[in-house]
Amino acid sequence: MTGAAYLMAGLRSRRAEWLAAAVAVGIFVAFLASLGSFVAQSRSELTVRAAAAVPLDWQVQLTAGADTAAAEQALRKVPDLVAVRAVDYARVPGLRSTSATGTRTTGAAYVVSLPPDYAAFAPRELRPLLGAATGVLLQQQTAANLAAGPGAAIAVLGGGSAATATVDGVVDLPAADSFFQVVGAPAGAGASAPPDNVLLVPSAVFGRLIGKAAVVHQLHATFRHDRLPADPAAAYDLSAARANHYASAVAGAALVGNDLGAALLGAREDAVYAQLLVLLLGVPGVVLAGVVCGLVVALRRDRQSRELGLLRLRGATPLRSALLVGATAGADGVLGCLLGLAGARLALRVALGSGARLSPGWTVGACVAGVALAIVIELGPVLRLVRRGAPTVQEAVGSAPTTRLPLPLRLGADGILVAVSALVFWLTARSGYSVVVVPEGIPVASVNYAALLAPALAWPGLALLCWRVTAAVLSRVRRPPAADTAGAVRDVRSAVVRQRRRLVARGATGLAVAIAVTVSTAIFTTTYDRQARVDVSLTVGSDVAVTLPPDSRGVTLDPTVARVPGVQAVEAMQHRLAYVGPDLQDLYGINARTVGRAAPLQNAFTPGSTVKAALARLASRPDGALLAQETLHDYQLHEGDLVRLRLQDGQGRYVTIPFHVAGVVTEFATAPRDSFIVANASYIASTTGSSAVETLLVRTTHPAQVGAAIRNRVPAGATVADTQSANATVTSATGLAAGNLAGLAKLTLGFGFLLAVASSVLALVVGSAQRRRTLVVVALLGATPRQRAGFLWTEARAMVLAGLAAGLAVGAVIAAELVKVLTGIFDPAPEHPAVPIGLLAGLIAVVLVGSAVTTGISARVMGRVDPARLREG
Amino acid sequence: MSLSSAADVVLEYGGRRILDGLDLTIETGDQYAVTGRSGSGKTTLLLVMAGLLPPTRGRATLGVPSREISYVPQTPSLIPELSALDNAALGLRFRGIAPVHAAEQAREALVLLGLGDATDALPSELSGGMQQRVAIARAVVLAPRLLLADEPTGTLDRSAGAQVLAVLRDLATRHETALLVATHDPEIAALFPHQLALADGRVVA
Repeated sequence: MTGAAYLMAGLRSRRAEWLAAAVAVGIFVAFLASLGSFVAQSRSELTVRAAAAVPLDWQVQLTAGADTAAAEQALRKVPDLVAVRAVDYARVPGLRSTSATGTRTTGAAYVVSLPPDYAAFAPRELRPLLGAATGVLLQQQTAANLAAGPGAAIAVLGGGSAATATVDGVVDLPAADSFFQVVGAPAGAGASAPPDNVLLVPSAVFGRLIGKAAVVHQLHATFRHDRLPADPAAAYDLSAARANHYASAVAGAALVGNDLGAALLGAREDAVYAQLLVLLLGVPGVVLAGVVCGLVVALRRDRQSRELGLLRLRGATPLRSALLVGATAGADGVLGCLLGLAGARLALRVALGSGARLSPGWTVGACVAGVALAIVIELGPVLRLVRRGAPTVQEAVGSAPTTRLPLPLRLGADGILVAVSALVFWLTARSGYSVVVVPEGIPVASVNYAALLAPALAWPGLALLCWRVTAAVLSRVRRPPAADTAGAVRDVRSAVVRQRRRLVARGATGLAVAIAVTVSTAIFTTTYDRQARVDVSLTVGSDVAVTLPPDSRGVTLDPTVARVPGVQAVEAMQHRLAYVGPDLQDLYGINARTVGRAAPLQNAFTPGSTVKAALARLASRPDGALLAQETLHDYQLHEGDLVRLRLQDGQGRYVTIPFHVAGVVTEFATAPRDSFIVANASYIASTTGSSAVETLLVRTTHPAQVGAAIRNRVPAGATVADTQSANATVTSATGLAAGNLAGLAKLTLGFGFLLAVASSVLALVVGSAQRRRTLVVVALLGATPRQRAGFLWTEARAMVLAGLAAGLAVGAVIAAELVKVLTGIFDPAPEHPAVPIGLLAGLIAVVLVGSAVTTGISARVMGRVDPARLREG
Repeated sequence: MSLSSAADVVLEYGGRRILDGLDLTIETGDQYAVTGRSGSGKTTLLLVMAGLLPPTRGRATLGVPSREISYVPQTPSLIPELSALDNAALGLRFRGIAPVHAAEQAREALVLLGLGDATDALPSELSGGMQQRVAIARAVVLAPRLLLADEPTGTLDRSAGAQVLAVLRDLATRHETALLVATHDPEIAALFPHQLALADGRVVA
């Protein structure tokens, strides 16, 4: 028989078998291709997002005596350069303004020379607030310090009598940290604080204003981002290499502040986290898909052993037999690939949107893997049969399934794996769950793969443990015969299941793993989602937040403006600026007893105590203040210590006010990620004489609608933000946008559901097929359809219930491990995993319904007396 | 009373004609031995007469409910997960006989067939012949009106074969059970009052 004839004969006579095998291969290919394409796409997105977030790509600082023209000429030769602008600045002793209310003088200030089109060149460096966007511009904080605005005359101290300029506008410098960075600072030196006082002037007047102050010459450059490699690591390498090449080209005449490279370096760390997520959430699913695929393909093994015997009887050599079976498997694989590619396209569209594309490399890889899997699974047992000879029918059907545990369990592999996993987990916990290691001063993000051993070992360990426990429980289930006059034969059915416990336990373990993959992914992503919402909520301040710039004297927010339909609570908060020593920090004045009604609060915000206790301490001490850990450390402060803060009073004068340290705070609504202070609003109001409110925190279940309603009621200058609008743009501390994980979660959960149902259905179909002869025999003995079905239902009940229980338990354990091991991915860190009850209930319902339908159909189909089977023996 | 009858039955299977114009009526107390070479249609005849295989053409009729008919396949058809005793008692249990009574009757049948020491053994612990005897015990305890056995002594030695035949004939005597036994052994066939010789699906003698 030729291969083609064998194939065609098989296709004609076993269509359902072929289709089942092809669908199984298709699921595997679809999962692998879509997961791989997701990885490729998310890496590319990380690069694009990181590059897009950089306000300025390079800040090239010329060294003393350097030839500016030559440096600029060399810079213009760097590939993909878009534009270059010269920016100079000088540090002066201070700025002074004089008005009807008196003269005000600042401390040290920076005067910056900008080209006229700088706002268009780097739009995210300057944000106009008042007056003109070009000309002489005063930074917002400086304007507040000098009580100056457009039209005010500003004198530059140290610049001589002619060093005065008239202010054209007030601007914010959103990226002041990087704008005033110390270019060429050694790695790990830490960021320098941006200056408090800045005057931005046209280059034409710069020289006149600064007098003899030392000038720092810089060239600001932007590059094309669309030509960066998709992989963040490769993009970083390219950017860093170009910076190094330029530095060598100008022979040390310039230092490069590579902001683009720094952003890509961060993205590279994010990419490592994304890779970890795929490893920990996606790979178990792919392995499971492979196992399910193997189960389906192996369903043909029984028939193939008979066909193989026939082929050999007709003189086919073992090689020829293997080639014929291999051709069948290959055809399964090819058909499966076609189905898989369609499935992968669909999955990507559903998970990532219509713009998602399959990655060519991953697609080819998935197809090769699918075909290889089908061939290996189908051919392996056949090769064994060729070597040993096919079993006789009596050997195949007459022997009871063994009750002996498989070798790994007899060797105690489950206990060993779980114990080692627990040990690794404990060691990882001791090191603070540092899975992604970014050593200071070394621009390399590496993965502490040892930490991943905990979940990697827990998976097989817990799966084997499920097998052991299920088998042990089933071996103890004994139902006494009692007075069974209805012919229910429950005792007989339970004896059969007891004897088949190894097979039932195997099926339950497969189902448990499938459910655990889904459960662990669901819990992990729900926890991530919850923390991401907290993160967005923290960034915004609450579900909706109305904010004025800090110390907005003369303007205050009235809480009644936020009382619109749909609002559950409104909290007023002061936002001032206060000096702790020389550091200017944000100060938030709250009502500690009520702030929790609208502000997101978690215990992680107040290390060493619960947030409730910390706020209670603050409330009990009117002059109390919660300070950042860094502030406490830098100023050697402890709880109860006196700390004097300088802040502006109602007239804008700085006054010194005593506070006492009431505790530590790391995060708070609307607060920046660095140092800040939380104190009692009533104390701030009484000591500064200003009860002005700069922030309103609004709790609602409809952030977008409420935000829109409030937007029309707030005074000019106030900003209204809501979590719904911000959700798409705010990223976590690791930079992973919520959308990335959502895409992965959709893929894994979707395929997880599919695999959970497939596992239960397949295990039941395989079990029913194995019991076919038994069912025929009991039919011959006069068993009614109900009595025959009882055999299948008993086994199905045992397997599905054990699989569900074990799957939920294993999924919960793995999820808890993942949440701990990947603590770094969460911001803020979760107090405990979040359990998606609805989703889990849906999963259980789907598995139960799928199992019930399968068992019902199997009972009808398998119980029919098939003369062919009787004739076979 | 007619327990099962076939009139001009033709049966084709897999493109091949297995039975070709068969006419047969089995009445209460009849004892038939069906002989013929391998592939002559013996098993198919038994399946048709048991009502398990509908003919392609012609008419096959059962005169009693199907549960009054027992069929013992050629190869042992025990449930591999149950002991010999549970296997033998299973048919009774399906009929609602209390477990204790079913076990008693099954044990008696097993003892009669020389398996008194093997009641707790699983099928995989029994030889092929012992398994076949358990299958016969399971059929016998049901006291059917018609018992069809396909090569019941094929895997047994002469002594065990005689034991099985004695049990079958005792059953026929005590309960007027009709017997239709397929065999390739002329000596066994000679023990039956009626003999049907099959060749190419036709009764030739």
